[in-house]
Amino acid sequence: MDSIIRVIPLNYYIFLSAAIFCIGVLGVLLRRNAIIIFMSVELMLNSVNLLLSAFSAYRSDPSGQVFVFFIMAVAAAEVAVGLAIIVMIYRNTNSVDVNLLDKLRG
Amino acid sequence: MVALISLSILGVFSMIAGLFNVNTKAVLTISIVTILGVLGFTAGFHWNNDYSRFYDMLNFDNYAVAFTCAILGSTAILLLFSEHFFSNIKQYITEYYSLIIFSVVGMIAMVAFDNLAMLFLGIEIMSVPLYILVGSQKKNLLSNESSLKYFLMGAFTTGILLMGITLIYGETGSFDLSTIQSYFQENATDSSPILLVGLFFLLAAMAFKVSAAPFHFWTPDVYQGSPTFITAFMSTVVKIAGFGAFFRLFYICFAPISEVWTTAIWVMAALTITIGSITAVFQNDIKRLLAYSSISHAGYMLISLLMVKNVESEAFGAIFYYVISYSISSIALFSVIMAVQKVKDSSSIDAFKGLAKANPLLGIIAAVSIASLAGLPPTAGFLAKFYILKSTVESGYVWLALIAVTNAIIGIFYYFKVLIAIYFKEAEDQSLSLIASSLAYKIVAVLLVIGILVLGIFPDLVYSIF
Repeated sequence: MDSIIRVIPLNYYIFLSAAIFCIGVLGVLLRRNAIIIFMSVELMLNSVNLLLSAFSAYRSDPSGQVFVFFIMAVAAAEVAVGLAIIVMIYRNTNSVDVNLLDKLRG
Repeated sequence: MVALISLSILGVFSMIAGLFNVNTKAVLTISIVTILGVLGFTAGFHWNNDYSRFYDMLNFDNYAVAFTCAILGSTAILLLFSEHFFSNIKQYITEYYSLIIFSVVGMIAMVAFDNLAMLFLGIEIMSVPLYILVGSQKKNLLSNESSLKYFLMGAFTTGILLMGITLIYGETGSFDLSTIQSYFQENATDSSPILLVGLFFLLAAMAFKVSAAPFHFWTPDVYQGSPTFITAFMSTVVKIAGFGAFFRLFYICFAPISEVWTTAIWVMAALTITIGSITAVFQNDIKRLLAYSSISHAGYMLISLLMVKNVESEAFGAIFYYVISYSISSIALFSVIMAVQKVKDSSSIDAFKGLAKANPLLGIIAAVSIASLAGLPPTAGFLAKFYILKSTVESGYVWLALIAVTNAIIGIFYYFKVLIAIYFKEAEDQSLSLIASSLAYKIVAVLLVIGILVLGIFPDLVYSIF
């Protein structure tokens, strides 16, 4: 299994993960739909997962891969809470556009 | 370890108790007694008795024990003060308790971590219940909005934190703090871009969690929109945990490469203090004002990270003393705000007009806690700022100390705006005299005020425990 992963140089994994991570960050910063922002956050987390498994395979150290499971479990918990919050907002405002949420100003 | 297990069981218990309509007063009493029992156990058995668990992923050293006790103590005091807040809520009260307790479990993991995996899990276990608590007023649009903002920003930061952890792992090959530290000691000149980016990401994520500038934008909105009790919880207990983790990560683990990050901390601390105190001057909503005040206090606590070259026990003492004094003063002030909000549906400063005349006890609590937050002697807040500034000057950061002192003076101005409303303005109506507090509330409040003064006169009780 290791040998297949190591066919591709480590740098390629780093570049790919960095690219996916940047797409996620840009999505969070630019999009105004709460669900899309949320998806972009998941994209960031998954790029981290990819990078962790690559590092872990290259170092022959299993702890990185175990960390990936932690991230997936926590991300699932976050999705549950996050979607509940978005549904709550939708019930009250009939919209998931974050631009409408500007009542709090100082 | 015992703390984590018994608090988790307590959380599950109060969740199930809500299902069977157990008396909420009884659940509250059981929760407070258990929390205080865990506090006593942790302080009694783990102090001066290093204790590692889960293959060294958690380490209850003296630092972790002190912060755990601060977190548990603040939570217990806050729960004792909760009567005014929960008297307005009709249902799901025990769920509040259980979410708060689950959040505290995460915080204990945050201050006791010895492995970056535990740091991540601790932050998440703390944050996920908080997202729910912030949005717990389901019909209130402000609460909804602050919940969504907090959630989206928090999830975004989680991604950044994880990227930082991953890059540090890629460079050092381990999640274990002591392995990372010894790697840095051997490769002190290592400045590969992966390491630097990882360090910067970790710094940004931790700065977000303690609401330090330039990552503070969520704080005023979230503090203003969430229910007052949760605001109090976030600005005291969550702050203690955030700083516990921040300090443990940077002061202990990243100390060998401190040259890389001290400048960033310098700039962040100066920015945080200045933005916090200058923006607070223009606020008319007390919760928003306290949010900016908590931002500026975060700046003072950030300064303590610059003391890497100082004696360890002195730096630990300074940060711990600051955290304790800030926390008890804030809790005392928030208890007054919750009492006022019970009769007035407003959190603007005008709602506090004539409070001292209508209710002298609340007036005194507010006066002492505000004096402590502003940093006036003989309260604890004065010496807290003094110790931080003293070591700042000793470490050679004279300019930073000057900026901090200037902002402390601005701070006195906006804190006294609240105090003037309480003492020297006439009340608009009679509603403030309707506040009725139970005997327990009065006793705890008076003890807290005495605590603020005693800590200010005998600082060694906390300052020199390490």
